[in-house]
Amino acid sequence: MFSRKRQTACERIREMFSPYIDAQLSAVEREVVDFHVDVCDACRYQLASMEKTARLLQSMPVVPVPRSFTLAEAPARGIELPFAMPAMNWLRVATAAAVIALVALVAVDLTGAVDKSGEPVVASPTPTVTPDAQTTPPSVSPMPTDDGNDAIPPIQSPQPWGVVGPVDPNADILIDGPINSVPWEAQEKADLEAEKGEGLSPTPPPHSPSWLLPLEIVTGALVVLLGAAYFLGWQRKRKFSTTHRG
Amino acid sequence: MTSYEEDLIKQSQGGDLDSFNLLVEIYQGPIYNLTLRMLGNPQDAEDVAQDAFVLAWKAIHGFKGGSFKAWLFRIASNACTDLLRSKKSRKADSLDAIFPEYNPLPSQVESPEDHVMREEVTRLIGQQLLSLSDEQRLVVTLADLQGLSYEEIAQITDCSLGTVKSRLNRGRANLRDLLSQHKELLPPEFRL
Repeated sequence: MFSRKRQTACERIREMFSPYIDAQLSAVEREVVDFHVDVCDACRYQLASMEKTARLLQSMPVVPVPRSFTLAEAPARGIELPFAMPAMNWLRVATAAAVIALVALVAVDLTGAVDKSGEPVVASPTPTVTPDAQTTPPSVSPMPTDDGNDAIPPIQSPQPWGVVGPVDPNADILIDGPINSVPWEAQEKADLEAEKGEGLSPTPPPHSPSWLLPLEIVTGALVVLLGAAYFLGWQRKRKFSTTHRG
Repeated sequence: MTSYEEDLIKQSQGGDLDSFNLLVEIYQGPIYNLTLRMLGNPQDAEDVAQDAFVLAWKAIHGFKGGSFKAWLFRIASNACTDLLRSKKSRKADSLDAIFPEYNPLPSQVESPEDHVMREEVTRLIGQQLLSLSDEQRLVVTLADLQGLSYEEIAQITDCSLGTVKSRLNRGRANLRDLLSQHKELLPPEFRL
């Protein structure tokens, strides 16, 4: 264990050898290296040999140029260096934003988080089905309010998806009828049972607002356009990079 | 960067080829030495150095300031990397170095034996440099053969300062290990 710890310390010190040789260490770091190589023979040898290697490299003669590289005539210009490509950066951000927006819209559409009017659907305690509410036939006339209006409509049985039009008032009565007497009623009962188990609201999932689909289409088109523009720009940049990177 | 260089850069950006050629004359030595150390082949080094200056001319209007030397070295080093990559992918020419006679004529102060010895050492170092990875070779060449600062190397290689330190450290250590196998060829003062 001790030797393992020592090995790690040596490795850490050896990583500082090059900056040490090039005087790129702080005074404290230099002291740490100095102290270590004073007590560690292996590291002292490593440092000395690396210093020699660096000096040997620095003593390499400069090779004279075989010919002049001046340009006889001006080659055509028109290359943008990829040092800073703000257009590409903006394009990337815009494409990412459009993708996120599209995903969010699709998610809203699929989950029905916004109802037809565009208001967000809140998972409120609106008519939560209780066991009593299910066992008691909701065919009783609505409770009048103080002003005499039927403010609270009778709880209606949930309609299967795709059912449109007014709810059959007799449906409430049918709940009281014999079990499994009508096929859809059995389905309805099963759904109620399922909802009772999960404690969910019997409110049917809201329909998406009419503006959602066009917005999704527009955002999707935007994603495609921006993505294509970014891809083309990326290809151009890549081509530049492979031929004349700067 | 001197004001003289700045003037030359501005005039080059305005389309003055003569000014650009003055810049070429300033930097052609370091650029050729870089490409030679990176590629190990004088012909390739010459071609890539020339390409680098052509590309620099084409792109100089996009130079936004900073170190012109680092900018030029970056173009050249990228050109070297591209050539090395394409060679590796083609698996054609291996990187067998065809080293030039660095200093064909012995100077008047050294004996012919010393000259031959120095040539051998130079050849050996050049060959061992090619044994390093491209990244390590680039950093070692820029630091030890071109004498660039860590900051300039970081700018050229588009790496962090920490990466530069790490690559240089590993490059030097690897080179030391490689050279130690031929210590009999090294001058006594450099024997490892």
